[in-house]
Amino acid sequence: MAATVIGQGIIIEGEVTSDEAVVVAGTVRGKLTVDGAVTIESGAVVEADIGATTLSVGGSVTGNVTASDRVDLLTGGKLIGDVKAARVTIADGAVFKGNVDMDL
Amino acid sequence: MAGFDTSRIGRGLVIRGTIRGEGDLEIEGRVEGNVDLDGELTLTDSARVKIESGALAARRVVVQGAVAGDIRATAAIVLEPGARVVGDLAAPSIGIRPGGLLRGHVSTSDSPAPARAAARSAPRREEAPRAPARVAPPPRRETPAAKPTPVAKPTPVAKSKGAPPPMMPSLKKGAKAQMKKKAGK
Repeated sequence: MAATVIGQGIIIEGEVTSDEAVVVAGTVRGKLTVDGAVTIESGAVVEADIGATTLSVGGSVTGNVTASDRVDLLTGGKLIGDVKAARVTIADGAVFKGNVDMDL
Repeated sequence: MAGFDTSRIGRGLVIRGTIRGEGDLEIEGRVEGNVDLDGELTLTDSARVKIESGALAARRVVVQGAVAGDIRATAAIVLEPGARVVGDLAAPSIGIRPGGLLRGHVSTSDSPAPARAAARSAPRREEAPRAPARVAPPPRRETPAAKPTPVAKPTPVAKSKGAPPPMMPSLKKGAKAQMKKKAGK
């Protein structure tokens, strides 16, 4: 389990900064900057710009996303915003609206 | 997976903003802002929490780390060894274990606000009796008022005395003695 888990009932509004992996199952509004992996679980709502090394989206994300390594948009995941990453995968059944920039 | 009912803010995490919601939460990292939780909140020894406005609120709060700000719990607050709290505590049940440090007001009543209001109004009641003491001086003022009439008399004398002195210097030294000698003759 990751060092940080933002659970289902938890709502964070503001700026979140971390140097270790973060799992979001609740709600985050604002800004999420992580020097590590970020996992957005199914049912999670993130209305924030995200910066991470790797990002996995199974929930709903609204905001611009930047990953130094990769972004994976999973089945059932929803991403509205621009994506900037070296590698991007979008699974069948995912919802995505935005630009992709893989020229990192 | 065991689900995500229990949340944890890791050691390397910094949150500037508000955390709210329901469920149990364990904070190992830093929070600057506000926490309002319907559940059990545990602040571990590495936790640094600074409450910017209002109070940290939860059903039950267990502190092992550092908190700057007021803590309010609907069930209980426990300060464990290593806890450092600068702020007021308010909960129906409060425990401070040996090794827990606190600087602030502690209230185990359900409503801490009225207790504080009474404490603040108490000094004001003490001030009220002082007012009559300040009323007393007026009689003293009457005595100075009576003095002006005698003082008024000296002033004309002072003026009559005041007028001649300039004349004195015009007389040469020893002139007055000569005048007296002439008068004596």
